[in-house]
Amino acid sequence: MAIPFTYSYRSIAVRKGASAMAVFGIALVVVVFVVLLALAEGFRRAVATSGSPRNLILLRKGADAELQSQVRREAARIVEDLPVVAADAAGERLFSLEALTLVNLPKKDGRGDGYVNLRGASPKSLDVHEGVRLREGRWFQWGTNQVVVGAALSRRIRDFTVGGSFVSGRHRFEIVGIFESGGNSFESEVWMDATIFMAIFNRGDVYQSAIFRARGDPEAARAELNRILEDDPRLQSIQALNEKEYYRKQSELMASVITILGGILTFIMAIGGVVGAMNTMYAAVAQRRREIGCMLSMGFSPESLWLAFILESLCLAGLGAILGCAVSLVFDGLKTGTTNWATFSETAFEFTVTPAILAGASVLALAMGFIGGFLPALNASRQKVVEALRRA
Amino acid sequence: MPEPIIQLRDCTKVYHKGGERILPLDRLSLDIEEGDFVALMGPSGSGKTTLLNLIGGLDSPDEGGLIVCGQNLAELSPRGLARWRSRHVAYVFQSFNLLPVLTAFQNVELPLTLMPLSKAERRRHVETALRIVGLGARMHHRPDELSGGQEQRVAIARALACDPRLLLADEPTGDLDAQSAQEVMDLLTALNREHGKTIIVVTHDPKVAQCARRQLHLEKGVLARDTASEPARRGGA
Ligand SMILES: Nc1ncnc2c1ncn2[C@@H]1O[C@H](COP(=O)(O)OP(=O)(O)OP(=O)(O)O)[C@@H](O)[C@H]1O
Ligand SMILES: [Mg+2]
Repeated sequence: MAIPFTYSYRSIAVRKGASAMAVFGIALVVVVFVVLLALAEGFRRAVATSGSPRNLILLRKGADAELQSQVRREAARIVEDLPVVAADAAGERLFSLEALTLVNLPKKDGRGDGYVNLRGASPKSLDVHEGVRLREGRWFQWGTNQVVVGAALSRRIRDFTVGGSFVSGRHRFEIVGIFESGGNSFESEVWMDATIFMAIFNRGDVYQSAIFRARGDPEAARAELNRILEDDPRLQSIQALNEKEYYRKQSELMASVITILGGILTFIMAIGGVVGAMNTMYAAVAQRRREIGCMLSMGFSPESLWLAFILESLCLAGLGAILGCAVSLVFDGLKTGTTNWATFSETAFEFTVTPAILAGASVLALAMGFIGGFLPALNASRQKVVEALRRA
Repeated sequence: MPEPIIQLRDCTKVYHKGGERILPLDRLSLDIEEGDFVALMGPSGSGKTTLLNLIGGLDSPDEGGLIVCGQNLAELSPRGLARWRSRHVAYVFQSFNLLPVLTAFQNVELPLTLMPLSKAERRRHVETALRIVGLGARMHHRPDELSGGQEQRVAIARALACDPRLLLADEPTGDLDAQSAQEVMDLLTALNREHGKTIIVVTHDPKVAQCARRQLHLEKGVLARDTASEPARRGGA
């Protein structure tokens, strides 16, 4: 028979100071853990939700990102006329040749500059990229150096408002609108007319990518297109990827970097949390030696004493988990941004705390409580009853 | 003539402290009859607590053997000994040793959780025990809300709850004022007379010892004197 649970949880209150220290220590680890995973999750969501599963993207073979890619106009035109490309109601192909470059712009918070993706868009861009919508102002006029900026950038880059402008190289760009796209990474881009883009940046006929709506099953279309690309000597330098898949891969590098660094940081801090819990529990055992002796004298087994102290430690950890989760929820939805290491451009996103992250953090906290409480509880269970009772 | 509840045969306990050999008990033999009320006296370090620990099965002799409540304790495993203790013996300590985070009721209930009893049965036992010690009205107080004398009475109720045959008290009045000490001794006397409990009380206080029917004096681990206080001895039986 076990020692009543009441004993374990009420005992926490006996040494309030020490218990509070242990609880705070564990809560701190929980906060760090949740915040880092929320960061990775938010980043993953922003980037991974960017592409449409119905679209395919043409890139240079071997290019991991659009910026490193080159797609010639003639090659793209050949693909555009293939039957794998879907057409709209008017019979026009849903196909968009796009160019991309990085421009360096001052951040709003004054902490240096950030690289921003500047995208040259084609007339079909808005049809191909679903979910991109004007929020403020108007779309840029074709044939001008007007631009529209993503909503996330308007929060992070200085003077990114309708009516504002910025300079890159010898050129000034006029901001005429702000667009949104459901919080994904397009919101961290600036869009303009690809034709003007190509002229300004002397790109000749080399674009970065072509994005198009696949006709029928996108997976089948991709396989078929890649076979065609393979067989046509003019097209052998390009490949087709699913756009959604492409962005998922883009998110992976950064998310895994955050997750791994976060994991290391959490691990180091968790050692502190465990040591805190262990200290508190060792002190608790030392202080309650007589109680332990008394319970042993009544006939309680060493195991039941071990369990009572482990439960006490788990209670501390549980409190730490609740406190830590509550504090870290404050960060949920908080907007932030970072340089995406896969594209080197500024990417804005929201901290995203998911139930899975909170559950993981709670498991982590309880594990810390268990590990920290293990030796002290063992110590309690190994007390010799006569010794324990004798000690003043 | 029934068998004595406690039979010690040549019990020796040895400690080694820094090369020195200490004999808290030196070939001690002793019988105690069921229903007796024994005061154990002697100077500090004479082996009183050691003897009590042997009888209660908390400690084992290095030599010799003992039979308590019909059980040869040497035959029991540590686990068996723990179970045996929970059925037959109960302790009362000088420093009460109540669990401060539990109420009087919960403290008394604690040893009962080791018994195969329903919650209702446990409640009945607890209430009876607390009523016997006169604390029926204080059931839901925590130890820090009770006086020393009341705390010790809760501890006695806890000892009583499992209805043990043997009650071992190590200086139960050592931390109490004269008035509370008297109350506790009156209570132990009543338990002995009215409930037939065999009681052994370690004490330094001759007045406390007077309450018992038999006084044992230990000195350096051997029995120096064994006297009966006549009026009490015959009075109750
Ligand atoms: N674990 C131990 N290691 C070494 N010596 C011990 C140990 N336990 C008891 N002793 C010694 O055994 C002797 C008897 O101790 P015991 O506690 O039985 O005495 P006591 O009669 O109860 O004394 P007191 O009246 O002070 O409580 C003492 O000399 C004590 O120092
Ligand atoms: Mg003693």
